[in-house]
Amino acid sequence: MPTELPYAAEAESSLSFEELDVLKRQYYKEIEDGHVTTQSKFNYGWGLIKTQNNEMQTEGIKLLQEIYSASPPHRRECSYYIAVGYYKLKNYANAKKFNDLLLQHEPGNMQAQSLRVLIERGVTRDGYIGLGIVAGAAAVAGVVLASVIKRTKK
Amino acid sequence: MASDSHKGRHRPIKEALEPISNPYMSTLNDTLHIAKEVVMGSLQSDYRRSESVRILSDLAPSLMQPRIMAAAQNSSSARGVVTAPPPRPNALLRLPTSFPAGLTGIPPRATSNSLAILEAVDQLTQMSLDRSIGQEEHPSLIRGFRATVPSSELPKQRRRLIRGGMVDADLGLGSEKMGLKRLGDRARGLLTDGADDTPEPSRRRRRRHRRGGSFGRQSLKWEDLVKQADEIALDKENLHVRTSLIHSEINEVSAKIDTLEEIRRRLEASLLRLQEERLELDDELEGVQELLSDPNVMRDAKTISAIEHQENGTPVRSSRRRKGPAFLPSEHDELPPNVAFMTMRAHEGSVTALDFNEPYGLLVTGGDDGKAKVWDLCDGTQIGELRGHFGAVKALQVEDTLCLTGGTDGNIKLWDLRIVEEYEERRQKFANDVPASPLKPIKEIDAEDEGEFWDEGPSQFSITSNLTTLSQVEDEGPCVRTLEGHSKAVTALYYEDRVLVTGSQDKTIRVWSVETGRCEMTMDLLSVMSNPPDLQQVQTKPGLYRSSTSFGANHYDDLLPSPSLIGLSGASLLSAATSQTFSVPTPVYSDGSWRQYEEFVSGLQSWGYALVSGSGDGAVRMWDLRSGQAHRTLLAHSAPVTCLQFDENHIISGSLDRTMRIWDIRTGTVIETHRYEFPVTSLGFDSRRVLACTGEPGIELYNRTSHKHQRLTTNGHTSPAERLRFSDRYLVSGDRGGSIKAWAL
Repeated sequence: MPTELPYAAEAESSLSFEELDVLKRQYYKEIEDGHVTTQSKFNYGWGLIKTQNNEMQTEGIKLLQEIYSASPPHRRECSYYIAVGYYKLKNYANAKKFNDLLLQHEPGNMQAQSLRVLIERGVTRDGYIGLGIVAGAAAVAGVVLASVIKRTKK
Repeated sequence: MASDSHKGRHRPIKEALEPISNPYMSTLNDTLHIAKEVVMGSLQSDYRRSESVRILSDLAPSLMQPRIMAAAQNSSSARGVVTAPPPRPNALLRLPTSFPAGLTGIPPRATSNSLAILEAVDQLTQMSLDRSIGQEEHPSLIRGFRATVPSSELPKQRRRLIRGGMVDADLGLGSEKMGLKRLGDRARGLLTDGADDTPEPSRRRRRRHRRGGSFGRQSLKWEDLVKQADEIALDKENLHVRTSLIHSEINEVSAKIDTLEEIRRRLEASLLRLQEERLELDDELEGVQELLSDPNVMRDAKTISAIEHQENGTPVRSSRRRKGPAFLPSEHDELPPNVAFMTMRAHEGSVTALDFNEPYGLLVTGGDDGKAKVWDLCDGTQIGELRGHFGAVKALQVEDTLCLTGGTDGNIKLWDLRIVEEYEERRQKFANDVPASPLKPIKEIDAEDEGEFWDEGPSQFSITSNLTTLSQVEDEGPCVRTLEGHSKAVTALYYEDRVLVTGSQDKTIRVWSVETGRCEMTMDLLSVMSNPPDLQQVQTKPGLYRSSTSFGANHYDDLLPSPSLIGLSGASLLSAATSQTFSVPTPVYSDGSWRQYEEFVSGLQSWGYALVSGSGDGAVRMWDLRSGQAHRTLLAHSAPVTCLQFDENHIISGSLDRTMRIWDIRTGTVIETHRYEFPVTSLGFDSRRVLACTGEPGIELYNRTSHKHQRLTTNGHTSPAERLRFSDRYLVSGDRGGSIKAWAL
């Protein structure tokens, strides 16, 4: 089963609006009918995670976390998708948490291993970016300061 | 056009962004969406167009052909030719489009959802990922996703269209479909080279075929057919996945239904418990109200007996009818329920009668060995013996410190239990000191003692003392009065509110006034039986008598001696009942033993003017004590009734026919019949439960609320239990081996 897990790259490909809408309508219809099947919930949740919209991804993670807590047989699988979701949200800490949960039980899982690499890469890049932002801010501040000083001198 | 208004609105932004987007995009032909998306992806609200464009540009550069782009852009707005940006090396290593979350720890926009999911993380990570063994394998969610996502249907639709030979009139629609299919394929990770390489030529070819009309079918290429076959195989596989998905969902629903049913069962059980609790509270309230209406609530410890107490005119309920919680020490609550916690070796031979005044109070037992003993229930020690009857005590009742016993000698004796211990000590002492003539000194001291006793007592006790001279001569012990009148053994006795009712083997029921010691009424069962006073008997179906067998083949001319099918025919039972000496063998007990059953009247209870009796002819009779007439006869038992009790609504009777029946008093019908393997010899009930001795060591406990049967066996009797009496959660039972057990319920 875990071999079927999609690689993180697949999560980057969004569904079309129509497809997502179908999934969404199916999900809400089942809510109205009083019984939500795990599959519909997952479909919509995964569809949401595949979008590029943070709010929708968050919503998707919420749905998957619901499945995670309610349906033990799907827990391992879900932990991976939740990790992907957090990865897409750039919440690398939680992504790592869920991915490691899966790796704990299935150390040989290729998808989870590649996700771990991606997460680590993301963390380091964030570090550089943070550094860059700090540096940039410092530069801007310097320029502003310099111009201010110049003006006062004039 | 929507895109125009977009342009207009975003003009300044676009201009501002142009220098940034320039390096990314070689051609700036209506690239607003792309620019906007790349820079402010996370803030993008109108995600759909940007989405499709972005994916395509990010992940599938090979697909970046203008027509497909246009299709993916959706038909509405961006019809123009969009040139794709140059492919970037790794979509996942794009510049972050939002402020990096790694720095802040939380996503850039903290909505309630994002907070909620983060909050749940810790809890979720605590959950076990262990697979429960034995659980059938579900199709994985992603497999289900691929099988159920809408685009999985597209190839099928397309095939249908082709087969139908329909002309794809709208090129735009067609190509849009193609785009969707492609998207779907990619969503399923199915980037088959065939679909990748030459999507356009094949489509064009197909269109040409369709234009060709009648030649369409033949000119379908072999490769197309192979592809279609592949698609069909894939579809079939998807269908299989969806089937198993639905199966697993059905299984899940059934599991949920099972769980819900279990929950429902538990809820119903707790409802029953609440019901029981309500009944208990009702009883408690009744008890408290009774006490409230009693002016003697501040009971003086010196008042000597229940007899005196009743002189105040307040009716005091018999302890046997007392409802509500009995006073139980707190230690009692700690005892495990339904376990016998005390055992007393009381008699040689069977226990024939027992009663106690209150839990952890005084217990009096009568046995086949002809002895009547008094016990302290606190420590299970014998306090003394009641000496006076010739023969065994067959019926007794303890009321506070007053004890009433009926013996096989036909006499009824009243005892003051408070002086039993003292008397026993004196007796012991004088027996040791003056073995030559023990009687005289006892007499002297007893006279002294008696004097004190009467001083405290009310005036009418002097009369009583005259009446009881005979018993005093015989034994100057704790016996305070003897009532004589029955010509044969007294087998049942019920005392309440100064009135004593006794039933005897001489087939009469007598009503006594305890104050005067006179017999006030005699009811002859024999005459009642020979002239049925009401139509009740006629109404009862004769079929209710089990006529197949008899109590013993040796006794009746019955050819079915099987001990497991013992019952009396109506006629033989009647003949036995009306014969000079009533005597039938009991069915065998669980240990194979049996005895000659001679108690003609053995169930008796009165309440005000109502009296209910159970007798050897198997009848339960309801009497009016004012007229002395049996106004109703309830017939259902096919063997002598051995015990009964009633309350406002029900009579419960047990019989040698091995049944216990619950009657509705108003209609006079049996509403419940409980059959047992062995004869029912004793029972008691309150609003919540029925306890019965059913000829087995285990005591039958029937829960009236939940209708569940239970056997009390833990540390229980080793020979069949014969008699029991209980109060609230305190039970005392005696068995055929002469042992007494005290139970916590």
